[in-house]
Amino acid sequence: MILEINNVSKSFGGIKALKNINFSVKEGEIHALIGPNGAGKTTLLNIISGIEKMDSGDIRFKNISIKGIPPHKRAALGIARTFQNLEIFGNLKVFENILTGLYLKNQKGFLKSGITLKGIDKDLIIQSFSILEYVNLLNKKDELAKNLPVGEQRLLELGRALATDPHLILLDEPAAGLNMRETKNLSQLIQKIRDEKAITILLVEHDMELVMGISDMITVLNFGEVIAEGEPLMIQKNPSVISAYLGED
Amino acid sequence: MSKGNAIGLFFLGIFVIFFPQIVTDNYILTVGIFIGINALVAMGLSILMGYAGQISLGQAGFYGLGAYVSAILSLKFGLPVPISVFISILTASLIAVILAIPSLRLKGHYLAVATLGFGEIIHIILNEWGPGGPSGFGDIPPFSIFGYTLRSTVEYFYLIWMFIILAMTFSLNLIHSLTGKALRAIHDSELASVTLGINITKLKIKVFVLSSIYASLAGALYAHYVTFLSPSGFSLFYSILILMVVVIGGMTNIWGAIAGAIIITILPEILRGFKEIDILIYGLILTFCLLFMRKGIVPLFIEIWEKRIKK
Repeated sequence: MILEINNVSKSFGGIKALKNINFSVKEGEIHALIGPNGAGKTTLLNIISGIEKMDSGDIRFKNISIKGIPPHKRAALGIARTFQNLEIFGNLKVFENILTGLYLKNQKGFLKSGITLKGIDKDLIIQSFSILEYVNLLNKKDELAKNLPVGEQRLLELGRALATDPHLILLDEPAAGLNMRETKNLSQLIQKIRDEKAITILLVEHDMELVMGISDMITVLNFGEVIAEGEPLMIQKNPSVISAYLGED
Repeated sequence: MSKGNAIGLFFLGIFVIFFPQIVTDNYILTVGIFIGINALVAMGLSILMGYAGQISLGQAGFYGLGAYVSAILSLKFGLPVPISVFISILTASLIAVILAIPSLRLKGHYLAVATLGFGEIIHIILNEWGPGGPSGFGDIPPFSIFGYTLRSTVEYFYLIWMFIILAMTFSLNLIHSLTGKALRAIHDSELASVTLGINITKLKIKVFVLSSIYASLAGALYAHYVTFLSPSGFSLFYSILILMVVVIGGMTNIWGAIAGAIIITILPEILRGFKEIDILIYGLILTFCLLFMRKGIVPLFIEIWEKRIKK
């Protein structure tokens, strides 16, 4: 198990967003986290990446508790993520966005950066190009990121996450705002990342065709609680999942 | 550093070397020195605002601290000037760290508030406890190094612009390094930067300290050039002036600090002929700049230039 969520709870004021959440993500799998709006999926991703603090419980990543570790150090441990509301660096060029991901493992000191004349290593630039090629954005490398359409901005976020050389990527609704062709390409890319790079993926997504098509395991949240867990076919037939999505008679 | 910037620096160097040979008028060279001093302070603020996304309203505090510490150490304690300058920079950067740690750990513009308070405190301290109080003190030793004392305006012009070129080189290297990209990233989205493993608090503190180093160095050079100090030059007004320099010049480009300093320093000199309505015209021109050149002069010119090339 690469990621273990143990008894995680979180409330905002009087609202309990997450109630004693328990589940584990197996290494090398695409694990989907689904549920109706307001089920607490994004909150859970924020807690895993360290942007929000949990009230109680524990999270273990590669058998080490990451409770209390600040978000930038979690990234260094190998947790990367993308955002539902895109958080690209709009005023940077596309390849420079990738460079910010490469910063983690290739950073030099502040002083050293100031006295080094030759700028960014050629190797890193080439590395950023090859990541762009991997996410099919190489032809846009010199454009300002803010000028890309939404679909390509999502790919850019994914590429930027890959640049940190992670073991686990948290994808927060990567297909939101994509058309059918783009969604299909995205699903192939996610599978490629799992199969070729052996990176584990925790996917929050509303597009059921995408989720059912690529997930190895699915956890269903509703009102801050896990209501079901299993493989795609099992989840589709689960009565409590159906009632959570469609409402009861 | 990019090619364009390297060429820019080269021409700046050539210009600095030959300018005093062509223009021998002492008044113009003095204005040139003050442009340099303002540009050095503005350069630090420009990186802080344009790259780390933070505002400081207390650069006058560091500027004043640099001037007073270096002046007092050399005048009252007889320290050699280069050493007193060095200690004044050290003092300013230490205070910058102390100010930055609590205010930069919080999200939002706490640094602006903290530095506003800091600037005022320094101003009050200089007024109350500084030598000579509000009327100031003189006889500060001129800049000297290895037994050679700088006396003429030309020498100070060279000294200050040498530091500008050094600071420019450092700043441009930094901006065009991977660290520089991380800084730009912080400016665009702190949330995303953190999840990419960028330690944003630490980087912001370092940039703030850098800005305090530039400001205190400028202050110390000012002290040993003018050889007289009074607190009036180190008030909030100066912090705002430097803010204006950065905004007018364009905070997304470090060359904006020099361009802005040229405009803001020369403008009052040109407007002197208008007597009592000079401040009115000064205000009108600055308002015009802010309304029609939002990004600042240097980024605007680059935009126009790039459009012409594309045609």
